[in-house]
Amino acid sequence: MQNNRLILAQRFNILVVFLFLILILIVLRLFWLQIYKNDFYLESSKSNYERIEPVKPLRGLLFDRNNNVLAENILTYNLVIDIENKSKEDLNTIIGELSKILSISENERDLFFKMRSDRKFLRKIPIKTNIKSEELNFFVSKKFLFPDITLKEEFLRSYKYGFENAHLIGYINRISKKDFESIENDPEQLNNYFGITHIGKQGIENSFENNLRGKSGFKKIRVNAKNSFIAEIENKKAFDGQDLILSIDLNLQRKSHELLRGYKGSLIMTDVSNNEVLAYQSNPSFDPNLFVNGIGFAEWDKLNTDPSKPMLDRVTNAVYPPGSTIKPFLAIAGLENNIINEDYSINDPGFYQLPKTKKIFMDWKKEGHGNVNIINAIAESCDVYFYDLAYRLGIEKMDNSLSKFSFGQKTGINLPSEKKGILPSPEWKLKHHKKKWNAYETINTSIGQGDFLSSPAQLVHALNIFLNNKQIPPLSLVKDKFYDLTLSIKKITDEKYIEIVKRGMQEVTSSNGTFKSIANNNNYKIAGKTGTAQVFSLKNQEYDEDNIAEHLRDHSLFIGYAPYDNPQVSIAVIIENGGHGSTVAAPIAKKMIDFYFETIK
Amino acid sequence: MKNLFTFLFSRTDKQLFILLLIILLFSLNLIGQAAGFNSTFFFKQLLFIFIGLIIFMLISNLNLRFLFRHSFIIYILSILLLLLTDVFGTEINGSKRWLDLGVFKLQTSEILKVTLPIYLVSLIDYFKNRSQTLTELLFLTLSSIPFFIILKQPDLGSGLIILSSGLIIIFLNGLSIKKIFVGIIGFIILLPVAWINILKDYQKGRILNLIDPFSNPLDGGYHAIQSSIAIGSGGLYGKSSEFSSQHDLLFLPETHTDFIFAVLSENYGFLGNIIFFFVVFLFIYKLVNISIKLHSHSHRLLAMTYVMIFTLCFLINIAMVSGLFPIVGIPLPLISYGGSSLFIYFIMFALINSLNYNKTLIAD
Repeated sequence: MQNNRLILAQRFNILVVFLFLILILIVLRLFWLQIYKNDFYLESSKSNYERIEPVKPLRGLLFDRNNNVLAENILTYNLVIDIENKSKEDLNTIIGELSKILSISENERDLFFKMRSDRKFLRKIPIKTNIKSEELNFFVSKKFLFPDITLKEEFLRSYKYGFENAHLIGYINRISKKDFESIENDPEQLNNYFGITHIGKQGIENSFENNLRGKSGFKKIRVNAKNSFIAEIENKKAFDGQDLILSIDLNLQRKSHELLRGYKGSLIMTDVSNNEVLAYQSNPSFDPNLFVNGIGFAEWDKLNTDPSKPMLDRVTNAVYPPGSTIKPFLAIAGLENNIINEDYSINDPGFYQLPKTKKIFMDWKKEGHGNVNIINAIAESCDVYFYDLAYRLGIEKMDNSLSKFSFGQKTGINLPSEKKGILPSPEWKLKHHKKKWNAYETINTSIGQGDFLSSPAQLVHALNIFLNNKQIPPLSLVKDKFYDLTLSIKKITDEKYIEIVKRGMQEVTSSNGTFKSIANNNNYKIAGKTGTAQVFSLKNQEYDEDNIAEHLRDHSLFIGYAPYDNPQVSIAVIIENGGHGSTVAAPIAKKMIDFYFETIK
Repeated sequence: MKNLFTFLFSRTDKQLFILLLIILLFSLNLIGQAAGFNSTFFFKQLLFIFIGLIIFMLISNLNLRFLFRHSFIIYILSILLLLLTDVFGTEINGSKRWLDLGVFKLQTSEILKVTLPIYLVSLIDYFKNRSQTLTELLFLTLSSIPFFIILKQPDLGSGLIILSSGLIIIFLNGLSIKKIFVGIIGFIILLPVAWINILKDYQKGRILNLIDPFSNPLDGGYHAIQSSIAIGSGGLYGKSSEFSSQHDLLFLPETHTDFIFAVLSENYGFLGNIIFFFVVFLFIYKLVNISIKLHSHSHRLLAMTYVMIFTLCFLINIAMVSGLFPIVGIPLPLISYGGSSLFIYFIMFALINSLNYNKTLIAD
């Protein structure tokens, strides 16, 4: 009996000790959880019930100078999937179920998964955007089948007259992985973009991204385990993007689009007084609306492989040999360096022999222009006059004068990219071709050939510098930037040289000028300069415009302004492989200027 | 009427009874906080406690001699109930553990917690002069029968508790150190066999989740993570002043049953837990005190086994909720919502109380 009792007590004590050890372990565990790791678990419980929902700003609208809307935001409905804690298989199942009641294209599916891998911090990703009203109704009736899919109101960027303004305005597109990486590095930008799915990729949409986008706000809410809304904790307002009034005139945009139809080329028209762009057109064009919600691969491929390169902005991002359009500026160089004057004239036999060599340079007019002074040389585009001028001037002085007109430099236009072209010089050649400058290259440069390249935007910018005869602000696509032109009083050159060259440019459109077909019967007169840029040098072969492959044909150029006595608008037109400047580019420019004075003025 | 009450209470240990009431107040408060003070759970639990107290009073006044005398029949009836459950039981969440009695669902395995020790203890006197090893093997067999039936339901937790109650009796009854070692070695050998042949995938998953709950946060690990968050976010003083997000916002489900300790931890913090432990410790201390003073060896053995089962379930539940032990579905004794478990513990304590007050009546 006693023995039993002793054993029991002993054994019971062993169990008590064992259980006590467990109790100590539990108390230590509770101490660890509740005291030592308290902060961590408080955070965890917070992240359980706190949800931060973005409040998206409205993107700023784009207007033309007469307040016509060019880019707006349209209310649409998107189906979005809550991707939190879902694997790719889960999502595929959900999309599979959804595709039983709505059509989900392969493209929509791809875009969904692309966005999922591209964007961190994004909880809801659209699977179907801009859903049609009948599909909308159908989905709503079956909504209970899809707890993870919600219908979301979303503003969709829409470009009215997309084709007419494609290169100018550009487009927005979904934020790519690369875009996001650069946003992520800047904490403030990361906040600004919170919940925003699109970013300006091209044109104005890109260069004014920070103004147009606005700033995201957020809503901190409390939810329960079923993700139902319980209460609002914090609300930070979003700031909508700024609207932007462009200097562009929609009517001129539409007219220029119409005039360039069928051609590869571009046109830029500006206000001479403040260097604001009135029309900016590149053709062929594309529909920027395609890009907004992700362009399909087939369409993208079509745009990219099209030999006529519709995506290329031919106003600022394509450079061409300026051809004879360079001559007025070269004339200024000659005048201000006293190589020529108003009375100086030469006899043009139809060719020019480079002194001390046997090298012969032909004039475009085989029989020659005869006796020409500076006025006829510009009006008739006499090559020999400028060969001679260039030879006597020399490349250094020539470059000095031409760079005052901004050749070889950017115009500073407010677009994401522009090409600065090439103003050839001995230094340039040494740097890029590791070769010394040859005298004959000076001759080539004098007629805007050889390595000389400039964009149509540069040509019109140079023309505006010439017409204002002073430093002017960069080309601007935004209205009323309030540059004070009167502030700059430093002349580019002597006013009398400008007057002489202007007279030559007036003669271009007169009865013996290269563009005599212009009937200057309006109450305003156009002045300008034609140009023909060689794409292909023919060796020992006659250039026959009608019997040469189209892509080898010369580019047709024209720069001009009107009215000639009081310039208000200036224009540059290039038609690729269009032939002579007078046959294609100049008539388009004239129609544009006519339209301006008939309807706009 | 007044006399009846005086009679009832005269046969009840006052200190034990008051401690029991305090623990029940903890339970009601926590169930109210977890499920709502006007929820059916709260009122049902109130009713269960009331019925339980009546059972406690009645059993406290019973002469238990007949229990020992008919312990075999009681054991057989308990096993039959288990088998009945296997045939007619109600299936909830994939396991058949309950017999639907209309008014309430009886978890039949709980009954074994009371009846198996009674039967085993009653055999001790009978086998007094037989071989100890034979007795031990018999006890092991008698405990294993209900264990395997319960394992089939499946309910690993309750099964192990029943098996442990048998093992505790064998151990307390003086199992030699040599056999303990043999047993431990046998257990180690059997463990991989059990892992492969007996444990179901979800049971294995729960054990694995214990090692790394974040490996599978949405599935099996969800409870473990959310209950750790609930406990950890309680801090020193608890979150009762503001709102308790983990159960208010339903992140931690089943807070009124198995995970009720998480509610205590979230709302009253580490300090609340320590106070709670202290009260429960006093209660157990009181039970132990009563148990060791009982006159007969078998009575002491029975009472101590009950105390051990209660303490073990208590510790296992907290270890499970705080992430030290796999989630095996053992409720927190006296605190978690549920009738079966509550009644069984009331019966156990009443039996101990009764043995104490009737010790003169039950002659050895």
